[in-house]
Amino acid sequence: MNCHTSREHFSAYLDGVLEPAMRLQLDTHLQACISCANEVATLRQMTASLQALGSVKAPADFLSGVQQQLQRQPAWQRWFDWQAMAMPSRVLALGLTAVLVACVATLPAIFRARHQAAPMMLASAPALRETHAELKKDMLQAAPERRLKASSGAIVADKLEPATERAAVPPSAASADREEAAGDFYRNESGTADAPGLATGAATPVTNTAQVAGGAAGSTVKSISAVSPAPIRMQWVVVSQPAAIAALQSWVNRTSGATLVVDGAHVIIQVPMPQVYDQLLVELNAHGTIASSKDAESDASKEVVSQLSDHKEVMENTRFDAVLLGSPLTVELTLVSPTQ
Amino acid sequence: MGTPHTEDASVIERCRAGDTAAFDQLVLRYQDQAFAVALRMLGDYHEATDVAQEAFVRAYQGLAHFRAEAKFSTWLLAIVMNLCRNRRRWWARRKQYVVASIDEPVATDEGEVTRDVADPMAGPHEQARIGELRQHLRAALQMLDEASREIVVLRDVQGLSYEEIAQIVRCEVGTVKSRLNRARLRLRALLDGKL
Repeated sequence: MNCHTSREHFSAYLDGVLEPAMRLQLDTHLQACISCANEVATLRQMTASLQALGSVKAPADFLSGVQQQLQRQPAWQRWFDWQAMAMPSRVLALGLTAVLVACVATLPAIFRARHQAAPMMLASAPALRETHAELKKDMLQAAPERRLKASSGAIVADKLEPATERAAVPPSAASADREEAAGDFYRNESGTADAPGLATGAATPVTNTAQVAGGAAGSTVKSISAVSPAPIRMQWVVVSQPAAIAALQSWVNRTSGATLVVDGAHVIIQVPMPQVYDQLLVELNAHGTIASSKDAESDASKEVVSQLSDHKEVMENTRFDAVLLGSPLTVELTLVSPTQ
Repeated sequence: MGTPHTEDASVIERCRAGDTAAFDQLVLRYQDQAFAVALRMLGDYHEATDVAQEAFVRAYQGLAHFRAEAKFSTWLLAIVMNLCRNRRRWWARRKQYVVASIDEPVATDEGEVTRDVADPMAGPHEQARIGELRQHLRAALQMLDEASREIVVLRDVQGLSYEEIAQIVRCEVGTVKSRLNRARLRLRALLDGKL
């Protein structure tokens, strides 16, 4: 064992987790090499000193701060807070929900049977759907922070769409109400308007709105899954495609949870959210260029840049969900040569 | 008297059954640890308080998803870490950096005190030396890259096991070992001549 290889084992040696055979080799080296022995002694002193940094106390009013933030949830959400509900209330809530769903489901049939005008209203459903699609499109073209709220609102609307159409209620109105409710919740959750969490993404509007939309615990999981980021498509400018793919394959092999599929000049990579995505970007930049600046003038490239930016925002806001649900992220690369 | 893990499980069950006051017990039990991790990750007292409190709020909201086989503290620290990452990215986007506000003395009714707990057994000179060393350590921690800082804070500051760290940062135990070695060597290099 030489100085270079011994350095790789200093940490495990200090923690006493080095395999016996390796430990023996390192002990032998440390007896012969004063430099490495001094390094280990310094590292030992450093780790011992770091322990002292853990002995800090939270502020005295920490608990009351948490309680205040929990109280700041809107009253209707606290009322529907599944975790906080006693069993009789849960049964009552389930029963009421079932009755409501049954009423909503049967209303159109009753309506059709009694009024011949109903087909005219049903016929307008596609038009309403079109309006709804336009509304979603408008919302998605709004500012990034607004877009986060809007996208979650759109997802809520999608989930509601069949029921609202059957009930001949304009879905756009339903989605708008929902979005407003989600926005209110977000504002309340984030505290004052100038608090860092409001515009920062430190709070997760996507998560919160999804939870609001989900209501009960069971449906919350589905809602959060539904807001997992869409695949990111980007152009990867590389000199040699085979070499670049080989380098990427090697990285995927070294990266736990990552997968890679090659389809001609397209490469689809799936990485576990969220830590690995940053590493992937580093890897891509190491072997090529992502959406070169000269192409950024074109609309297509602008879209790529926009998608990347959006995704960063969404990713940062869904890191909490990633802990709970482990949603993966898909990146679709189109390999292009520098001359194209 | 059960282990902290089983005690947490029973408190969490009470929370789920509607006993909202039971959650206060969890906050009181883990507030120091959550705050210490946030403080060492962010290097700013007020930001750390904010993030640690938010982590408890998120934990409360997500209690329905918490799996009983995991430790509550591990899950909570994973939330703290995620919020710290988000907060740092927010700073980076707005070109905000914490430079020298790391544990600065605080004005209290009894005069200025440092936020760290001083060693009562050390003499004045020794306390000054320890204080200086801690200041160097805190500054060096903030200069580390994020992945290295996470590992060092969880292992050397908090004393967590490799397995717990692997769960929090979501990687293999082997990766934790190799990252920890790299992180310690980087930190050691940053502290050259100051230890």
